[in-house]
Amino acid sequence: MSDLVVKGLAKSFGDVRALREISFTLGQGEFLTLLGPSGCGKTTTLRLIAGFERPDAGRITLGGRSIVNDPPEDRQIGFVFQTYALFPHMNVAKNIAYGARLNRSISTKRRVGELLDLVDLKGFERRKPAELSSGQRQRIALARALAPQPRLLLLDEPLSALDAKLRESLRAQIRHIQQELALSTLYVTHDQEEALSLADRIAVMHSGTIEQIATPQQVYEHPQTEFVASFVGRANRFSGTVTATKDGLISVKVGEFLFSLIREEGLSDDLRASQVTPGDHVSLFVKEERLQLREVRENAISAQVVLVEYRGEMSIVYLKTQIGSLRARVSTRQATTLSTGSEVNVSFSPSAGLLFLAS
Amino acid sequence: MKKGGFLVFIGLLAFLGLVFYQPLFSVLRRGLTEGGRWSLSPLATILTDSYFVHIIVFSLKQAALSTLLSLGIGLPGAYLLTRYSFPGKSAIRSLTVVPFVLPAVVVALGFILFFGESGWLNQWLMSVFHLPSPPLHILYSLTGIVLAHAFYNAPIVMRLVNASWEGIDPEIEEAAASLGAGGLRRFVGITIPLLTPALLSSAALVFIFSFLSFPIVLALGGARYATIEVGIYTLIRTLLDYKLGSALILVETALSLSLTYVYLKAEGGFATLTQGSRRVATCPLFSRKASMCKMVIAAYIIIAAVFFLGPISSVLVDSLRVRGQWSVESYRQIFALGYNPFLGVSPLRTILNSLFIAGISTAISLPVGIIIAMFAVRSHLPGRRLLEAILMAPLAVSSVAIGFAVLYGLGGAPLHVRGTLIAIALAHAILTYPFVVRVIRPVLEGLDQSLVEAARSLGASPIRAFFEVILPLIGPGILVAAVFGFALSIGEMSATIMLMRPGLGTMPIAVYSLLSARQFGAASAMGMILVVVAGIAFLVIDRLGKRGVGCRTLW
Repeated sequence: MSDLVVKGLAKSFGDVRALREISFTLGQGEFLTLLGPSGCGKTTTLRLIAGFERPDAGRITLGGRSIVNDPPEDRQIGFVFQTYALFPHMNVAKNIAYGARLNRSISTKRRVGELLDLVDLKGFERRKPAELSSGQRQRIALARALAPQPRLLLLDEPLSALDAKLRESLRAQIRHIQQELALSTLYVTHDQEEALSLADRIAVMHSGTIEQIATPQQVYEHPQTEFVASFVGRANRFSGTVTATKDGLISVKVGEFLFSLIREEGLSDDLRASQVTPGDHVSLFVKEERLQLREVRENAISAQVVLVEYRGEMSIVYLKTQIGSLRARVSTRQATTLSTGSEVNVSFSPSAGLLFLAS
Repeated sequence: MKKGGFLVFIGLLAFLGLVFYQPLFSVLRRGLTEGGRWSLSPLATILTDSYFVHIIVFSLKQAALSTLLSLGIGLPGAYLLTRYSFPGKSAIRSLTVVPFVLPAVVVALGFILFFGESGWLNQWLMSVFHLPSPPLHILYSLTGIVLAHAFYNAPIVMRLVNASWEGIDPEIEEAAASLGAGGLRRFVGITIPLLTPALLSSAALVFIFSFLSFPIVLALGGARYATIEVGIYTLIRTLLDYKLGSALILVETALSLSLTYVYLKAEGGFATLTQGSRRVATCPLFSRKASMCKMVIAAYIIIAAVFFLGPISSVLVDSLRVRGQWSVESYRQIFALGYNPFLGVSPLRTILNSLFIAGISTAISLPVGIIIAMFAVRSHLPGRRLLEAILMAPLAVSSVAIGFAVLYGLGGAPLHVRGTLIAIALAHAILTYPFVVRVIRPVLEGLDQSLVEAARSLGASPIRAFFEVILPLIGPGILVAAVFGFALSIGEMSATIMLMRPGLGTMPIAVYSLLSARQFGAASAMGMILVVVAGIAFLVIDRLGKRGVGCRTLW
């Protein structure tokens, strides 16, 4: 059963078209992340659902009932702001109680206790927001949003102002609480790692539209559009021309090199539906971890090592080839055998490449 | 802007048009007419007559000298506040607001009592050095006027330059040092250019204030030294020459508008600088290590302390001394109901008049200021910057001119306020609302819009969100603005004197009348009431300002 249904949402600010046409559904208890670069419309989408802005066109229904004409206070939707937006003149307990107090069916005092327990901040009732660390503020903001028992929780880049370590632990805490409460949740972020690790599904957004909406694994391994392929994960991109398609293989010429790809693996849905034919201009993507340096197989290119960047267990190798610069991610054990300036052969398996028709 | 807000704003424009713009325009038009026709002859009279040319030149000259002296006294103070730590530093920083609420006539009184021929300083110098006659002749001269203006304006320089200096990211200087620049080169090549906008804007501000200063010149200039403001007052109130008075107002307004333009230009360069991530490191001022530098600093502090504390302490001491004895007789006189020959009314009446005027003035200037601040922060209308500048125009028009505009242009129909306390209150409201805007505006700008959204997503209606979230957050700012406006009105003398009628006297007018009659005890007692009002205003502004609202940008 889907809880939130968004259909054909559009919104402009003056001449700027923030949202062109946004449609998606969110199931009961599902965690959906809106992922995209800044300015793609993800925050606008969230604000329209919360009721802070009015859409120019489109429908929003929650539990089967349209909420487009409801003011924010009647929607029963919790919102967690990037800047926390805690009321500076109220202490922690009053901040959390604010929403619960307005909802008469909730016993305020017990609810504050429960929520402080939930976010691990028991004993902080009397502190003012200014006396909290930023991580604590964000947890209080979450507790406050949960207090009136919302039907839907919206989080607008809630972790972007925090440092990396804190971000990771809060991320896990948010996910844990969301699963415990089985709360339908919409989470906006520009951080792909956050999106991949948190969500049941990810909607990748780009200039006011959704490019792909799928599970994290599908988005990562089977990007549907060139934008998704370049935005999610790190991939090397080549421009080339299809020269032949036969025996389940596609041959693509990039510069002097001829690469062959397995047809079923290498085609995005768009391409599979149409047909690639010899002469088509295409973009070829190979993820950095799919480039091989050890043994030469098919699709080999000779390259020169420019730089080896140590990243702990893995290392990034920057390479110079005749068809441009490449990045490869290999185990550090293997990277230590490489020295700057040395010659290596880079290759990738025919199943590692992804093709998109060049626009 | 929503429809209701738009209507309120139109109402505000109509109100200001009626009480300020139209009266001001009718005064300016009066300066350009001769016998009912447009004519440049009044203006030509002003610009060719040697007396008027003299007072115009003198106004500019004293303003320039006052600016130089204010910078000379204020800049070392700014340096000390920025680079050193010492006990009482934050108190001194706070006290730099005081000139804004301290009535000028009280400063003039303090100067007469402290620097005068038989003032405390001369008496002390005579007894210490066994001199037969007073060594200092400061009053009723250019020196006295310039000194009093520096008393008023040096703290402003100190505050503005200190704020800008502390805003300079120390990393910029560290970067210069790492590139090989020594102390002097860093100061000349880095610090001074970065401080230039603050220096220029504070200099421009001090110049404008000194140029438009009225009570100090009136009280300390004597008969020989008159500025344009005093000239206008004399023409209109003594000679009843409205035509030439209006023409002189025209000249003055043209000059002050150009000066204000320079100030706003300089202030514009200000904002971009204050982005320091780290504070400037300070070193303790009082340490065992004595040095030449420390001696100079000590000398500066002693002179500054005498200069700033002397006049105010003199007012306090003189209010409590009658014929060489400690006594509260002067205060008894002030709170008396009986007729006072020097005032034309009972002293108590002037106190009640002041309170009434300040109450009405605040009740008008507060809503006007809040509406304009909301307009400035929220509106997206094209041309709103220009409209904003026009709405802040009373800042650039002299108080004497505004007083005359209300007297001449507003007195009759449809308001029928000529010769009433309401007329004075209206003039005060016009003079003070720009300051209300300047206090409220940063408060509204600092208000995170998502707080309202947060309250609403938690189930609060817009009205609830306003009363439970917005009002508690901007309430202290509104209180600061109200107290500030009230204190400015209580201390206002320039516009008031233009609208004076028998029986309408206020406290500052009483101080001026009493000191003119050389009734220094009573003048001091009345002055002390004004000092106490200013002190209470200062405490409210400072306390609430420390809680994160209010007066970072009082000017």
